[in-house]
Amino acid sequence: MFGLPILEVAIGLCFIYLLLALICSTINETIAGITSRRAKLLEQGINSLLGDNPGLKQKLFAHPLIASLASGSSGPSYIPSSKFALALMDVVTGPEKAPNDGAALRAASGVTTPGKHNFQQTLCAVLVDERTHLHSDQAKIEDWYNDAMARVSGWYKRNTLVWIWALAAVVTLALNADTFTIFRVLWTNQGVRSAVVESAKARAQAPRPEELVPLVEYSEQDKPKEAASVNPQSHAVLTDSERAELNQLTSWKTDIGKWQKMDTGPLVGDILLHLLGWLFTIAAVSLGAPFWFDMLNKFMNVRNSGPPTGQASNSTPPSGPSSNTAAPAATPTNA
Amino acid sequence: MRMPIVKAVPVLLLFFVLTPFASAQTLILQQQFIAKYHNRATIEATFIVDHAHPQPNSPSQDGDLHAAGRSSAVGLPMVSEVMNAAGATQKAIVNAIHANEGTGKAAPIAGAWRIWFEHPSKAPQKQGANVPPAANTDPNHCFEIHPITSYAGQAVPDSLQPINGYTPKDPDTAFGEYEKLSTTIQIAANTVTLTSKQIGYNYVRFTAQLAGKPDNLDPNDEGQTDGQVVLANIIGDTSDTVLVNNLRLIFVASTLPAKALQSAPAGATMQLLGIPRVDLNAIWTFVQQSGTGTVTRKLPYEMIVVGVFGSDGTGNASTNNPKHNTRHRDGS
Repeated sequence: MFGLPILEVAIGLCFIYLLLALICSTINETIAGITSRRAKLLEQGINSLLGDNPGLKQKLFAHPLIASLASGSSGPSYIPSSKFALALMDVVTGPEKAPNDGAALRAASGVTTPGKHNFQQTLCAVLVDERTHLHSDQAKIEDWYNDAMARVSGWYKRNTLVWIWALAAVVTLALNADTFTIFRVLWTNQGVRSAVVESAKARAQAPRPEELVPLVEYSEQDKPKEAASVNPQSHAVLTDSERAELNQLTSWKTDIGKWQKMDTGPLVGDILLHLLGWLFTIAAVSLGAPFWFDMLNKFMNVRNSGPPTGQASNSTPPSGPSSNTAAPAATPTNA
Repeated sequence: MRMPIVKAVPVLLLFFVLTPFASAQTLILQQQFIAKYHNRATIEATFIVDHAHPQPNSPSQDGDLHAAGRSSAVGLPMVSEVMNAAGATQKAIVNAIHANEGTGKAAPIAGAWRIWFEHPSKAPQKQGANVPPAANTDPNHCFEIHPITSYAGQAVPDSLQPINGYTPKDPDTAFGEYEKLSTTIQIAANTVTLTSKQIGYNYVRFTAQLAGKPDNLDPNDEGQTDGQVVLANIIGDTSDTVLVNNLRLIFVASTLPAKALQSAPAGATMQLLGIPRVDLNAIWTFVQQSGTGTVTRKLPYEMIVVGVFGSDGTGNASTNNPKHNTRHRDGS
């Protein structure tokens, strides 16, 4: 079974889904940066903590500990729990008292006079938390904040998922990335299939998407001044050859030419088939680049574990290259 | 006149691509600066002190004395810091800093150069642009001379030692944070732009197991080697695992840590106090091999060794044999 064309078609599909997912995640990150999406969700999370106290939020965000974390005109996209706790304690206790003045904190939070304000009630409950690891007021507030940030993280993941679905739809339609068409071309055109598998081999050897890769490696331990660059040429999201493969498999040109010559009935049928193919692609791309990277490596490993293609069964259509050198993603550990 | 849509689209795309960088915490370095200092421990320059702390920080804070100012050799907003500034042997240098504070006088300074996104500016800082006098002792800056080894003829190499009364950061937390850092590096013809998030975690106590032989760093402006560099594995406190492999440790010449390194056997483990800085050697290597473009990678860093702990927690040099049973994070 090794080296069967179907395996190479699967590799090709994984590879194309991976490229499309990489495009989507790059666009998503760009949009998230422009719209300060993370900062806005963080602000929502803090709103939920502070309850019906907009003035307090304003003071908190204006506190130097928090304001210094902001970039540009948007608010901070991340606030460490220690800074949040210290800033909140400072704001709540006021300028006359030290932030760690427990009595002042309790008086201001309403522990001594409970209950006239939602935020005060919440902080009151937080400060009476007597779990052993929460040995100080700051630790109690940090714990409360960390719980809330776990929720914010969940919001962000769900929000990103919606964006990825939307972007997958846009990219799929813009490129006319129809899974059925891609499958058909890969199955019937050995030249394209071989080229795609070659590009997929190179991509499978690259670092896993979303993994932070170092700039260099210091591999010779007695030569601390000599480093080797890691993937020095990987500036673009896709390489030239990857763009070429994508262009070969996803294009509007052929379909538009074909549709112009078709009657209405077959045209509608063909468009419906395309619609189904696009839906397959959108669903696949929304699984994300890391998923398809892992799948690609699994198929590559299966292909590598078998005998050379020349010794495989002679099923038609003929298969592509006989072997590759795909390796798992590099995971350098040095700084 | 309306712009045709075919022209408007690329303009809009360029705008959207560049907008995130405009508001990020960004440092634009000249390539010639990186080429000169990527394998040096220190920088020698002249320094104008605009503002200095009247007193050193308390030992519990870190014991440093901060001086904000300007240096034509650096061309960036900057701060210089004397370690253990309350010590008797540092009195002369502290007095010299205070004597020159606000006078506009440029006095010679030397010390470990340090690029780190600890006090970043909201606006990009470009090396070589006009640097106005610092408004206070802690202006927004990504460049430091820290620790200072000499100023106005007053040398303080022995100030590089553990700080009595200060609790350094623990290695598991600090290196865990460093390892998560990313940076976007934009390489142009003459400049390298680094964009990164704010990070602190100065003065980390850590165990380093020397992985290779020390090597002399490049000669300074006077033709003398200003220190040594060695690759080491950083070992965690709580889990006894290797936190980082093959990290560059920088030892400034004539300091107590440098002397301890010279007497350390191959593969020794050392209890050290360190300050992180951007590894310009990694950036320079990448710049030379990659050409222009933009990448997002792990922030490359190295540690300036500013103290060696003895077994009693003092600054006395202490090295152990390499038979330190450590486990790597992958379980090996």
